[in-house]
Amino acid sequence: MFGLQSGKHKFPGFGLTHNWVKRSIFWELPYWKTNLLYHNLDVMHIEKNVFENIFNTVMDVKWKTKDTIKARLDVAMFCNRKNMELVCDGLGVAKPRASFMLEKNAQLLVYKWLKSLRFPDGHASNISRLVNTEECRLFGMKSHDCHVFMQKLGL
Amino acid sequence: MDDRSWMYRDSPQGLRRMDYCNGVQGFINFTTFIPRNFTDGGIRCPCRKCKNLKFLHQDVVTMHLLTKGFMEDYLCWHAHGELFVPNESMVERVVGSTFSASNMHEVGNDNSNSYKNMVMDAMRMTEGNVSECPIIKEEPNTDAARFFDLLKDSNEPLWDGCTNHSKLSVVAQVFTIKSDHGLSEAGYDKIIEWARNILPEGNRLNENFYSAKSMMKPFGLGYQKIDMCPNFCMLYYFENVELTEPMTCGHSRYKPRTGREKTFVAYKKLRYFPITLRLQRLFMSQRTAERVTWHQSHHAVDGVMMHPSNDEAWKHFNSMHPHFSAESRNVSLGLCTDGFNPFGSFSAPYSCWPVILTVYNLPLGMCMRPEFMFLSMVIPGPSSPERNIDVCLRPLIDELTRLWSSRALTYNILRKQNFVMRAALMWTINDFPAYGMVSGWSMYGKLACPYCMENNKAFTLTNGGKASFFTVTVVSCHRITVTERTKRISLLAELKSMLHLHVFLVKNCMMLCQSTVTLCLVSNQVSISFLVLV
Repeated sequence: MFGLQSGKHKFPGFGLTHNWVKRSIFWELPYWKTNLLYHNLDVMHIEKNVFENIFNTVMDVKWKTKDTIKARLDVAMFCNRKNMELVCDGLGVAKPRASFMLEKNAQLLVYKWLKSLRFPDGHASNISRLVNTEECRLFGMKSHDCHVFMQKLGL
Repeated sequence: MDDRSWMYRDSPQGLRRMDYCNGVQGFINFTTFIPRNFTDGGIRCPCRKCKNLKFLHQDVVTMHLLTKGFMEDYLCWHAHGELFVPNESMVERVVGSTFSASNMHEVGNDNSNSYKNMVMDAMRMTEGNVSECPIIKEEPNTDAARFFDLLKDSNEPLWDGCTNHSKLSVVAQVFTIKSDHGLSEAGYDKIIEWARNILPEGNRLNENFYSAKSMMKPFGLGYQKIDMCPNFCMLYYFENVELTEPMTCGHSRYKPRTGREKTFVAYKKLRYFPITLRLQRLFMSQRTAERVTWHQSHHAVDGVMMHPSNDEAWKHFNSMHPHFSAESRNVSLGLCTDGFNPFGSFSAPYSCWPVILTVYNLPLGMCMRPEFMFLSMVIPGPSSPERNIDVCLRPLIDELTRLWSSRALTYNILRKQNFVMRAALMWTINDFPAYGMVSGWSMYGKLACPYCMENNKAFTLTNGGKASFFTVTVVSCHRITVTERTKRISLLAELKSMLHLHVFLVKNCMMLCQSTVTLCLVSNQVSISFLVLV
C-alpha cells in the first residue's frame, strides 16, 4: 500500500549481490509465480535508442553525442587508443577528431542523401521530411523508421 | 445454387470467357431483382478491390467485375440477398454467416455512419436468428440485460421517421467533437440548443451536456478518480479513502483552500478505468464475440510463431492452470506502460504514465488495434513514479485478482449463454527503465542486467560515472594492463586540472566580455540620454 522513499529504503547487499529495490506488486496475483515469462523488453524501442545514440555520435550532434570529454578521459584511463586521447599543449586541451566521426562535408552529404530518399508506399514514413539540413538534425523518427534505417539503409 | 465455377476460372491472356460475361450479367439481374440490395441508389460491388464495401451503380459494378473479377471466396452471394447454404468447408462458419446474411440490410444502411454501426453491432442480439445453433439458449444475466435494455432505449430514432441517426449515435458523435476540439461545457450546451431548434419538433436530442452525460454513464465507459500522494507514497483508496492526513511522507492530501471554495481539491489524482465491463463487452458484441476464442481455434504452423499463443510461456501457463485453459473464452492479457510528455517534447518536462492492457485472445490483425488496447489507468506527472509505480497499480491488481478468483458472469451473444469469465495477466512489455520500475530489479549500477545478475565483470567509469560492461578480462588489442593504468593516473590528473583551469578561464573570459558589453551599452545609453538632454 505504501510507497518507498527513494534512496532511503535499501535491502542489505543492494548493489553487491543483488539489485532488488522492492517486491513487485505483480507477485500478489495468485498465478504470477507459475508464469514462465514475467517481464518482456520492447525490442523496437531499444532499437530506436541504439540507433539514435549511434547516429548522433557518428554525426557529432551537439549535446547528443556520446563522444564527450569525460568519455575521452575514460578512454585514456582504460583503453590503448592513443589517437583518441585529449591533447594538452600547455595553453588548453583539444579533443582530436575521432576516426568514426564524419567530417562536416560528409555529414552534409548524408543529410542531402536522406533528403532525397524516397520509399515505396507504406514502407516507412517520409524520412526526407524529417531532415533539417540547416541544423543538421533528424526530427520525429518513429521506432519503425529507425528500424528501416538500421536494417535497410545500413549504418 | 447453380454452378458458379465460372466465377474463378482462369482467363487466357487477360481476356474474359463468354460464360463469365454471361455470369456477370446473371449476377446483376439477380441482384437488381431484390429491392433491399439498393442503398443510396447503388448495389454492393463484390469485385476484387471493392470487396462488398462500396455501393455503386450497377453499370459500374458490371465494369468492375469484368475488369477486376470477383473477390475471393464469394461463391455464395450472401451480401446480395442469397441465403447462405453451408457446404463442407463452411460448416463451422454457419452461425456467424447466417447472422450477417439476415442483418446485411441493416448493415448496408449504416455504412455511412460508423457510430450507428457501433450501436447496431451491439443491438444485433435482439434481432438475429440463431435457430441453427444447437446449444441451449439462455436469457442474458441481469447486468447484461440491463445493458441491452439501455442500449435499446437509447437507440430510439432521433425523431420519428429518422432513419440514420439514433439518440445514442448523435451523442457519441458530439462527444467526440467536444473532446477533439476542447469544447467547453457551455459551448456544447449552446450548440445543442441551436441544433434542437433546427431539428423537427419532438426530437429526442438531450437538452444539455449534463443529461447527455447521465445517459452515457450507465454504459460503463467511465473512470474512477482516486486521490494520491504527490510523492507516490500512497493512494487514498479502499481503506484509506477517508484519510485527510497523510500517513507516510507528510505531504497533505488537499491543496490549501483559498477563500470561497466549497470542495477540497487534491494535489494529484489517478484516473482508473475499470477493465471488467470492457472485457465483458467483447462477448456481448457480435463482431468481437466470435474472434475472442481465436487463440485456441486457429491452426498453428509447426516451428512458426504467429501469435503469443504458440509460444512456450503460454503453453506452460496453460499446463499449470488446466481449469483456466479449458475454457477458451477466458481472457489472456498483456500489460505495457511507458512515460510520455503529453505537452510536446520541447516544453517543460512532464512524464505521464498510461498503463495499457492488450487482449491476446484476439487474432493478430485485431489484438494490436487501438480499439482493443484498453487504457487501464493514467498516472499523472510531472515526475515519473519510478519504483513506486506499484502504489498506483494497486487498483488494477485488485481487479485482476478478482477477475481470476471470484470471476465475472458474462453473457456470450454468440452462443446465447451466460458463462463465468476469468482473466489472467500473462506478462508485461516495457522498455528498459520501465522494466526496472515494474519488476523491482533496479536498472542502474553494475548489476543492471537481470539475467547476468551479479555474475558480470562490470566496473564504474572513473570520469563518466556510469557502469561499463566492457569486460576487462578479455584481452583485446586496445586494452591497457592494470600496471599501465596506474602509471597513467597521475598523468591524467594533471590533464584534468588543466581542463578545469581551461574551463575556469573560458568562463572568466565570457564574464569579462559580458561586462564590457554591458559597460558599452550603459555608456551608449548615457551618451544618448545626454544628447537628448542637450
